[in-house]
Amino acid sequence: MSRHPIDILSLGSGVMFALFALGYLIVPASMSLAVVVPLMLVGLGVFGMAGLLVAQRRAG
Amino acid sequence: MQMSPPPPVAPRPFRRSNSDRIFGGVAGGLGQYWNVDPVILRVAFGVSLLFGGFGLFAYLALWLLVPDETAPPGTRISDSWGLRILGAIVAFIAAGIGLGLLFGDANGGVLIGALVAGIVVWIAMSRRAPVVQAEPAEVGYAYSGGQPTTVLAAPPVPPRPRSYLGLIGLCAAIAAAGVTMLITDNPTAIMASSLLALAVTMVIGAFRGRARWLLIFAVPLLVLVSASSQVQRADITTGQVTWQPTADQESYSLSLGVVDVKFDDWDGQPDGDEVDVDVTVGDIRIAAPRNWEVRVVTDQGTTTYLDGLRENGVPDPDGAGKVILAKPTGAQQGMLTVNATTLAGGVYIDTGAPAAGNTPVIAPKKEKKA
Repeated sequence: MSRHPIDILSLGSGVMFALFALGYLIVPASMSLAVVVPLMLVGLGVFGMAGLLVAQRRAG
Repeated sequence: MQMSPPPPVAPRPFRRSNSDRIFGGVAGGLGQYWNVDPVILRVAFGVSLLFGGFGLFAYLALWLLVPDETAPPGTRISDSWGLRILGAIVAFIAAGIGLGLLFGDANGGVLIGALVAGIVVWIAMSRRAPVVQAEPAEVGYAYSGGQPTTVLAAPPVPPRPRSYLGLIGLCAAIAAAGVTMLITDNPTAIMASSLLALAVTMVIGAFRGRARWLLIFAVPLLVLVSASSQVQRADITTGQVTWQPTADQESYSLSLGVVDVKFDDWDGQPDGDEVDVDVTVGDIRIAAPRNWEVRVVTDQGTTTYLDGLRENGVPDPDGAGKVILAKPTGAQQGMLTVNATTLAGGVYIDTGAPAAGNTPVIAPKKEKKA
């Protein structure tokens, strides 16, 4: 498997999903849907923008 | 030396991708056509599944109607009439769902509108890549013993080798679910273990491969895990219930369902008691006490009906909501405030007056001419 430039979106969202999953594995009835979904959307948006900025800088 | 003319630029037809595909190559083809990352389109399709299956039908319609890369250059649509008819039906369903969400009363219309607007902005900001035709182009005569030299256009970039990391992650997620099932029967934990496998694969993919498309599965899976967790919490109540508020209890709440709030036994103070009715998803139907003026306060975006007619109300001076005033049908005994909150649903108020929306319209009789 060849080495790729670091993909910020995959890295950030992967860590975010891992934290959510660990939280639910440890305490299944823990975080509320009304909190998790907005946090997820914010995370995806931020990591997506960060990934695009990094990609733009690499291309430039 | 003769300057070479710019290579001819041909418009790129929209084709389903054969090289960048997870299911039908629709997102890959759209990504190539618009020069955007197909992962974003895949995530958009995935998210739109949550809104009445709009994304699913749109994807299926494109899959059925759009030819793939092996089709001849002039082909615009699938050459099979069966696929065309089926695709048109599916596209019709997708359009119906999409329009229903956009113009319906559900709050999902706002979200899907924002999603569509985001994709449109993204595409508008992206630069569409022209295609350079790979035909030989004579660029001049270099010194080569008097023979013309033909310089060929740059060879096409070979497709990236297929990465199996994402598929491995998907299989790992399925296996993780199975292993967790052996340990516990808790659905939240089972789905969370799958989510963890996907997440770990995405982190590995950030350094070693392409696994972004796992977001398509991770996003809805997290929503499911979270919803399952919420159901496990004791604060979930569902069903169709009837409440008869009294002055002793100020607040009532339901997670999912339809609530009938009947003030038959209302014994509040004449100068303004308040009752809070909170439904997360579902309708609130209020039968107002007949001899009381009822001030119903709802969120600004909530659809409200007063005696069968849609009522927009007036802005609530105390907040961002709106107020619908239900006048008493008899001699007024006092005033009551009902704070009705629902995230997805409507508020229906019945004062006992004849339902204006259901009043039969009687056509005027035509007078006979003498």
